[in-house]
Amino acid sequence: MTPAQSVRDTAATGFDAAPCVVHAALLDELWQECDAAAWGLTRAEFDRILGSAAAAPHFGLRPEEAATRQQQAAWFRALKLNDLLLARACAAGDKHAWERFVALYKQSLLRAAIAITGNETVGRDLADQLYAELYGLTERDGQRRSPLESYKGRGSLIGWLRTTLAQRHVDHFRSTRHEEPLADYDAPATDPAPVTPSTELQLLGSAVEAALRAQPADVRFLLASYYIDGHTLAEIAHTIGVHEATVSRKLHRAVDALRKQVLRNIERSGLSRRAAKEALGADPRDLDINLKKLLQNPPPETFQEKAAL
Amino acid sequence: MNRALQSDLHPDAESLNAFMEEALAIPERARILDHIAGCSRCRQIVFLSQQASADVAQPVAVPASISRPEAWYRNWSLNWRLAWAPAAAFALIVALAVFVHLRRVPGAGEVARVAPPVQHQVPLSSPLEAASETPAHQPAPVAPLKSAKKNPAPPRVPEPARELLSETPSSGAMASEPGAARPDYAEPPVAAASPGVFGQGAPANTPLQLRPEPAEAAWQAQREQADAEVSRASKAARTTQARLSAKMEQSQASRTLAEKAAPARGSEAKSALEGSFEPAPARSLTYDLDSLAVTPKAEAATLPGGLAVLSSATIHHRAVAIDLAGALFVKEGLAGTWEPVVRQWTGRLVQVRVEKPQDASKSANATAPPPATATFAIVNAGDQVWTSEDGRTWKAR
Repeated sequence: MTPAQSVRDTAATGFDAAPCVVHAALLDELWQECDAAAWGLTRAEFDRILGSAAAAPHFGLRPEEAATRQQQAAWFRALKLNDLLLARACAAGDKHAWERFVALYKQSLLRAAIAITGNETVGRDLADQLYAELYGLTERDGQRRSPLESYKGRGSLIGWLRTTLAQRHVDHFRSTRHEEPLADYDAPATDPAPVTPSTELQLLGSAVEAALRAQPADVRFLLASYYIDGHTLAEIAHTIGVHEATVSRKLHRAVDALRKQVLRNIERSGLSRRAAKEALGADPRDLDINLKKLLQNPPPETFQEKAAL
Repeated sequence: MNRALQSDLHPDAESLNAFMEEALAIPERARILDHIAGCSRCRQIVFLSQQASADVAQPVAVPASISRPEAWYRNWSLNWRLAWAPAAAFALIVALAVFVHLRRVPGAGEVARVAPPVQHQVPLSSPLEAASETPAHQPAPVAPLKSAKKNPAPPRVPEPARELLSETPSSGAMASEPGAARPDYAEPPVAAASPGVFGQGAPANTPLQLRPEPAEAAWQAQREQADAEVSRASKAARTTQARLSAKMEQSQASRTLAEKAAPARGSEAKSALEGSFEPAPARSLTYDLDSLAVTPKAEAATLPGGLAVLSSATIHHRAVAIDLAGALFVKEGLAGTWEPVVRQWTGRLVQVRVEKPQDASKSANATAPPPATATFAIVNAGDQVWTSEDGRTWKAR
């Protein structure tokens, strides 16, 4: 099956759902704005891709609502439409789209993989593996599947590629992390006589746990990124899109608020303020607290990850 | 089993990428943030992807998005828009500073190029050293004359500044007033290149202008220092402006006196040959504006007032002298010191001479000393005469 043949079977392969109706005038307008015709996409394929892309999210509205032309236009203009068209055409096996994708992103993909892994050899292997998957070498139920089908155009395509590379690398690293020879593994000696912590330390541990769980998501993200993962203020600021000074200020306030909250929690347990302050000054090594577990508060909703096939 | 470690519970690459590119709605962004706050795997993915985006440059031929510009572009343009205001203010301040500097500098810059370097700024330790080093210092004011003569084309005022300033109405008014202190840019180029001695740097057809010039002021300062070291008897410091005005008046007086005394030069020379008295007016006759320059000869004849001798006369080792300011001094003997004489006359003294009786002038012996009845006579600018026998008590004639 050639890419040209497969693109004609786009409707058969199906993206998410049946294509929804898009206003013809809006399609004309978007067709004029995008540069899909420059790399060989036909108007019929364009209309089909846009219809299928908007079907599942239903323009961000509830299924029973009918999207007006303005709502449809606003939804489409919020997307990276050119990237979405290219990704969908590549996933459908369009030859011209794939040539354009290679010309635009192959080198960027390789450099990103090397930057993520920190090793050229490992980076090349990672990039080649993803490159093959993107082309559609994987088949399911007799049909070629590409991870590009999961791209929805909310972010840039190059960003999506980088994130996918990072996902593959992290998952691979986590799955092979424990595959170490036993000779190099120095198991800690078991404590023959576990010491029962004092009442003050138990109260302190409970107060810290309660205070950490009560923190909002952004504060827990800052604390985990800075104190557990060891990222710099600049990296955190770049990630959440704020200034470095803002991150520093928020972190300082979060630590102060956390200390006060722990103090209040200890006082609620029945200790005096002076005793609470003395308990707060205990050696952290005496506390049986796993900050990773405390900060790892499972979200109420789950995410369905469909990119990895 | 920890639910957060299950792979199907993590946000997909699309959501994480949209979170990093701030393309999510607020509720969905909060959900993603809440997840990655507790999920080290997704945090690691986010930071790795962010690190890769920082390391790897964006592809050049990335298709332009039709939806909205990139976040970094918006931030970049916003930052630069905010930075334009202080940058423009800073550029304006610099431009004003340069304009003011160019407006003031031209005259001083030319003088700095023409004026000689100050070579004897170190004060002398003793009068003997001062006297011995004074001749070596004397050519200093003359050096600018040579350098000025070597430069046939004196430096000119920058044209843009001059044109700009000439458009102002006040500049023309200042240039038309002869006595007014004009700015340097209004002076003729040759006068601006003058080293400081009156008349030396001016062209032949240019009338003599007695104006304080920068180089002349510097030369005056050097001369004041030299005079103070040589005489050591100066009682009152005179300002440069007062000295300059005195010179101006003195130069006019000397011109007048020179014109009047020109016919009498022959008779005085004749009387000098007869030995009756020394030709006192000879110095005043040769005095002109150029003599204001400090020469070794003038320095040797400096009076306690710090000024050079204008006219002097001697009778039996008693000398009477007038300095450039018109002050009268008397000295007893060759080794005596000059003592000021209390003012007993009016006007400004311009000459002192020896008057002898009629019979003494007819004496055949020209080398014989004048008789005891010879008297000193001083003349002021109004041709009034006072006489004295001892040089201290004067009577009007």
